[in-house]
Amino acid sequence: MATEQPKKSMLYTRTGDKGESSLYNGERRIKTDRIFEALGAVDELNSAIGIAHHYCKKSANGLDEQLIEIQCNLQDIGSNIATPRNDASETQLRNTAFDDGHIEKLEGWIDTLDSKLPPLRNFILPSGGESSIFLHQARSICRRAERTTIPVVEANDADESVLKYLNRLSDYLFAAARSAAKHEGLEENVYKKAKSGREASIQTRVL
Amino acid sequence: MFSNAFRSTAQLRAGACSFSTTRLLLAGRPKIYTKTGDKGTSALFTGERRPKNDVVFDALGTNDELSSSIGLAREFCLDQGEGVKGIVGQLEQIQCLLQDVGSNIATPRDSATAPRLARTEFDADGQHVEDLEAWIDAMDQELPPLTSFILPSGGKAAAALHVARSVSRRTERMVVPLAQEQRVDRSVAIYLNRLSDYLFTSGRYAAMKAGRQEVVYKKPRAPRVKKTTSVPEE
Repeated sequence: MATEQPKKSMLYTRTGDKGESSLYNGERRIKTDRIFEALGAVDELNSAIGIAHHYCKKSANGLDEQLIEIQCNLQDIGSNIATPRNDASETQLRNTAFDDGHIEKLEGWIDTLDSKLPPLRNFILPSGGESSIFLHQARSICRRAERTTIPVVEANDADESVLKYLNRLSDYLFAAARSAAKHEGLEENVYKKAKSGREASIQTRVL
Repeated sequence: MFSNAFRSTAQLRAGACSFSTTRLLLAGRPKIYTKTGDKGTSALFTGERRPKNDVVFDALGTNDELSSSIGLAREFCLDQGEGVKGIVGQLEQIQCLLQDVGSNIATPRDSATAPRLARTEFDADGQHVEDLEAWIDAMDQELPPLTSFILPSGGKAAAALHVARSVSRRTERMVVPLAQEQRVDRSVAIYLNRLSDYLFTSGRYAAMKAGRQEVVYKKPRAPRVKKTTSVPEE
């Protein structure tokens, strides 16, 4: 229908069509390389936090600015992962260092959130309204990001501070999810041992 | 399963082992973050420490993602209201059972002590799978027969159930190798297999109750591509 073809977008480069991509040091690797696995998981995590942020802002639970700072940190973590520590220039390493200070900051946020929460007495099930649920989802994806980053750190391709941050981040997201539910006055569902046998199913069907 | 994978192993132990109970009850409020996992290892229910990228933690973590996805689907079902109230209750029960699935995965069948194995046994009589099947049958009766591929669609609740279904498949893929090596009970793999069928059916059911049309697959037509003389290499 269009008589004139629009100019080619710069978005697609076609350079990765053969299944390879570049690291920050210019090295090209196959996209299934552990570095891209880790980068991809961190990216998924960032997206999950983006949704959580949307709902947290809507519910005005005070978490939104922290979440944005975390998203920026995840971007830096991506740069760190994408720059093999043992094969990059001084400048590249300096530009992509990930500071331990961010972990302490996260711990401070956790302590503040946690001090206002009722103590844990049971397993909590992901529940408690949209903000809380999306934070739980982000938490479970954060665990995956951490798992995929381990071999990268072990190979000395990323800094240990990245791993620590991801470990602490899932704790933060757990505390944040609980506090988001509390903010909205919503109940968290707790684990109950399911009854085996007909009883349980009949009970649920009545619902 | 674990509401939050690695620490929850500690959480779980806190309920089961005396030393951790002491920590939980007497030492007052424990910090959420223990820092013990900063070097990339975590503990199983047996106390054994393994790297967090061990297959067991992959399975546990994916199971955790599954419970979160189901939590989201439940939330949207709550919003949708009356027509899917039954599903809300079923999803709650499933979330509790996934916690039990996690306990089973975190207690290697080939190395745990007999009491631990007994405490974390999962669905030995197959009743939980039968429940899922009964729920599927009941919903299926009301649904129009499947005549084409359906795409994840049909409103928020239905779409979220489809997401949960796909995460359930991923969890199953993580668990199957462990079940084959008899490190996880086979009943767990069976339950996860049936769970994705349940989530598929409940997704369709939620769409029907929302009065939403499910989008069906149509073969998209590709425009004719002009043959380019030089394919960009790299």
